[in-house]
Amino acid sequence: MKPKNYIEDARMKENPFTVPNGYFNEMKAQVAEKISASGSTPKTGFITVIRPQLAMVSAFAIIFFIGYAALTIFTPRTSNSDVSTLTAGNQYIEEGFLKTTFIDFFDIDAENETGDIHTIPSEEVMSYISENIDIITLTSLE
Amino acid sequence: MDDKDLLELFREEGKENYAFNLIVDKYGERLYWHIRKLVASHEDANDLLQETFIKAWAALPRFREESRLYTWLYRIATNETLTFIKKAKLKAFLSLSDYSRQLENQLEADPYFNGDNTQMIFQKAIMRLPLKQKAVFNMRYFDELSYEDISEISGTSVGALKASYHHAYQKIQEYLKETI
Repeated sequence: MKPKNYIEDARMKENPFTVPNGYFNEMKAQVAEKISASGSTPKTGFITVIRPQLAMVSAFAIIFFIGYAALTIFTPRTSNSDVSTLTAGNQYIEEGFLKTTFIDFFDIDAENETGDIHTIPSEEVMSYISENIDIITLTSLE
Repeated sequence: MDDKDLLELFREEGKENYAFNLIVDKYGERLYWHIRKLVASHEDANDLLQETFIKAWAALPRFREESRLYTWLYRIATNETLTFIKKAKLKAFLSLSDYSRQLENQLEADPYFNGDNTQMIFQKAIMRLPLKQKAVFNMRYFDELSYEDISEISGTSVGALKASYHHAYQKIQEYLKETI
């Protein structure tokens, strides 16, 4: 004979617990009293209203900060010697020792790249050499 | 009045208390029995029910109707009760006693227990279940909630809930076979 399955017995679903008389009415009154005693009614505060927007802004700020930090940490720094070379280069350009600047590349006439050299008067060349090249360098050129 | 109307009433200026009292009126009893079957004691169930409603009152303005009102209330009640039981278990463990045994003693001495011997054994079998299995079994067996509703309440998948209910069922059946 198959043993009885008590769980499927409808009687087991019946509630065996009871409560003191009038409990549920009393409970409702107690809850109402506690809620009234809590003072103000629950309101949706300003912070509650803007909470989703605040969360989004915070998320973007965090992502930006992490990205910025990662770039700062992992990007190799430009060394001081590079900076000084650049500065020196600019100085030469400014002083006119180099004929070509970045802008000049676009201005050069392809057929006349070296044309300027032939237009410099020989007196000017001599004067430049005598001012800028010492005697030792001149002797070594011979 | 259905839940949607109750919530609309709650959002009307000056009608919050009235609407909330209607919610307590509608769900109070159901939630009480849900809690009571988990903790056995009337006093504990009453305290937990009141705590549930206080929390619901504070949180209701933020309720976005992503779930239904009654599953939301069930969730608060279940969380409150499970937290209470966990604390009670820890307290019992620290005092070197067995929480299930304490509950059984409480049940035997409970003036508000009206069941016969078989029902008493049945309740004791439920009390021996692990916490979440007990909650799932009660919601399915006594409250006859669908697995989808229990899933919404517990945040557990339907498959896991079915497995949990099945394990609970087997354990209770075994205990009843041994005891009756």
